[in-house]
Amino acid sequence: MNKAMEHSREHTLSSAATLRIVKKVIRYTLIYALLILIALLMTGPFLWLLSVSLMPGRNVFSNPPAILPTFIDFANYAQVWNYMNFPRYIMNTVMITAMGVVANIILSCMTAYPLALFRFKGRDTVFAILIATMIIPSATAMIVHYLTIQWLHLGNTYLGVVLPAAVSVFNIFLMRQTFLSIPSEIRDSGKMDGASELRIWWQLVLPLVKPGIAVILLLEVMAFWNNFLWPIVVLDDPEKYPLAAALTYLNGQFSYNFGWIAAGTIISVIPIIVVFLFTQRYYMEGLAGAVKG
Amino acid sequence: MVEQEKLIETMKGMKPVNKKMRRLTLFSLLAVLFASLLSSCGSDAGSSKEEDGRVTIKFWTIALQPTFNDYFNNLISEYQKNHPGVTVEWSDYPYDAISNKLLTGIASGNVPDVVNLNTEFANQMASKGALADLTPYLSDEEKQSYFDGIFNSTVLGGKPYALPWYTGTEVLYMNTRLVKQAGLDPSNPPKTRDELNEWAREIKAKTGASGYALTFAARLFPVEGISILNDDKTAAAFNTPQALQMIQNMQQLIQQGVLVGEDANFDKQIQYYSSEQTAFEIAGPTFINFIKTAAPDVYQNTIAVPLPTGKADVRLSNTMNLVVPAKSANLEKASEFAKFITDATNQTSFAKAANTLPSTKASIKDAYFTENNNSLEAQAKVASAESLDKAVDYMVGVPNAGDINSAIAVQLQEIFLNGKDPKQGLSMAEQEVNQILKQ
Repeated sequence: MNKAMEHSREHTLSSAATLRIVKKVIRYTLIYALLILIALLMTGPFLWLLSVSLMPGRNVFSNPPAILPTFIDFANYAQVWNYMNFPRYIMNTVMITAMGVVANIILSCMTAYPLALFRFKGRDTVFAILIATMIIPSATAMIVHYLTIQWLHLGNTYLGVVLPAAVSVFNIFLMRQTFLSIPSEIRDSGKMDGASELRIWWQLVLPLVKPGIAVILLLEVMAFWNNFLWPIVVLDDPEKYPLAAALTYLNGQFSYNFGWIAAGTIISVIPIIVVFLFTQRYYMEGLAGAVKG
Repeated sequence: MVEQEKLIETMKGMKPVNKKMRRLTLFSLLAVLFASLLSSCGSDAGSSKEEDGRVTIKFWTIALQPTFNDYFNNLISEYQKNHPGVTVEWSDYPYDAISNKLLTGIASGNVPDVVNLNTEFANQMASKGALADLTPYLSDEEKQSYFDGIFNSTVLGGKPYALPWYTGTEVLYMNTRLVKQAGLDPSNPPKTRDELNEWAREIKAKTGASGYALTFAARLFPVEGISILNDDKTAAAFNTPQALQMIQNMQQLIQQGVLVGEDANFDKQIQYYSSEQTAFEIAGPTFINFIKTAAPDVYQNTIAVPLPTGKADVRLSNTMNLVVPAKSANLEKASEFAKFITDATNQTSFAKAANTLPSTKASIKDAYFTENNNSLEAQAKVASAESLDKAVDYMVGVPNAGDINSAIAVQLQEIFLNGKDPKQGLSMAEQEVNQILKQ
């Protein structure tokens, strides 16, 4: 009798456990199916571009689109590499991007720090005016930027390409929010030890806002890397073009070759993917931190 | 994300996703340009001046490098040899950026001397006073050397503002695989728009593919003999019963699936045709370049025939022109060079090199334009060349062509895509166009 009861209890127990496991499996399957679906939707265009670039001689626009390549041939890559001077354009892009990113990080951190931690008259007004300029569409500024660059005699130089975007209000805002989350004790302790403001900023505070800096790094690397219109407007010599600007030549009505465009674009996004892989961890933290602050 | 956007851009043939945004950019640039012209800041610091008779002519083209490097370098050195003291500096910029580059350049006085522009943008720039009136530099004989319809496309208020260069009239491309599958005979192609629509209906019924895709733009009117503006270009003239009839017809065609129910720009049309979702395409000869490498299987099955005509027996051309900005410091030398590039001899040789069509009457007599070796390129060339004398650009001498075109396009989209009442849409477009003309 006892044994029988025990047995049945065990039975119900195990059936409840199985049920739980089944539920768990179903839940996880659903979640994973959904996640995979979203991931596919997001990466679909990229995979499509990749397979188009790897399959020369195939109909690019075949219906349904080819997400995965059925064969692999690097002919497009070899041809486009010979057609355009990639090493030169990549060098140009690296230089422009490096200048732009460094300028953005330094300038926005330097501007945001006092706006967040100092107390001075007109601080909030300055910040409000900065934020207000975000409303102006950047397109309208193009002619003014161009006139300014010409006036500074920086036409056809990389400095001219970088300068108008050397600091952005969004980055200042982002860094201000990040600095706000730094306890004021840190600055006080630095002051007690007799450090200058600049030294406190550089040695004590900046190491604590690395996630914020990583966000700027990633966003600006992408923005400078992909920017094509402004460099074409400022630079007169196509030899100085960054990659994204040079790639638009592939879209001419006499030189159109979609396989080449695809291959060239894949080559040009690889560095961005690499940068993202390295800064991804900070990026998530930085965004979360800024939102919390 | 920027990265993602870029990829999608590439998918769409590398044109920015957001057309509206690009238009906005262009319009705001135009507005600033207009303002700067009014205030006539007139510093032509960047423009090359004549010093002891030596002149530098800055010549800008659209997306011709590096394919035609040899052609232009030869042409330029020949020109420099015959014109001592003149140096030509050739630069080439991508299609997506040339308008912005030109506008910023003009605003700052850092202007080129001879620029390659399409008709719509040339007219828009000329209406804003940014281009030089070429009357003093053109003899009657020179004016008449170009096809009248094409030359007159950029004549505003009796003044020519551009010299026509390479061009192409529309022909009909058809996917013979789909046509045969529908039981139709490709060797006996449709002659009129009505016949074309009849074929498209058959194809829809038998194969499921649509007939063709179009951009809903102002160019739909002149094909059916409806003028966009009145003769003295002072008011809109397209709000007529005929136009209403045409729009209602098109609505019906979209419902039947004969016409793709989407405002398909050129990139989209290429995608529809390449993926065999449409059986026909109405485009100029350069369309072939876009399908040749992207869709080799469809290219194999494609033939080109003369375009079936609408009520008006006109063919629309898509012309590239050369213009001289008003702020150029060497107007005369610049016009001289523009005439050289667009003269009959050089147009003939460029048309051969680039497989396009010339806009000069003498060029077309060259045997090359009637030779047909039955390749798709030759079929399109011959079909297109046949109709050059009937060709007009759809924006014949329309001032502010860009603004007018987009005002009409917006209403057409409302009608075809959002079910707006055609009558109401037409009269709204009419009002807006009249408003633009009053400016």
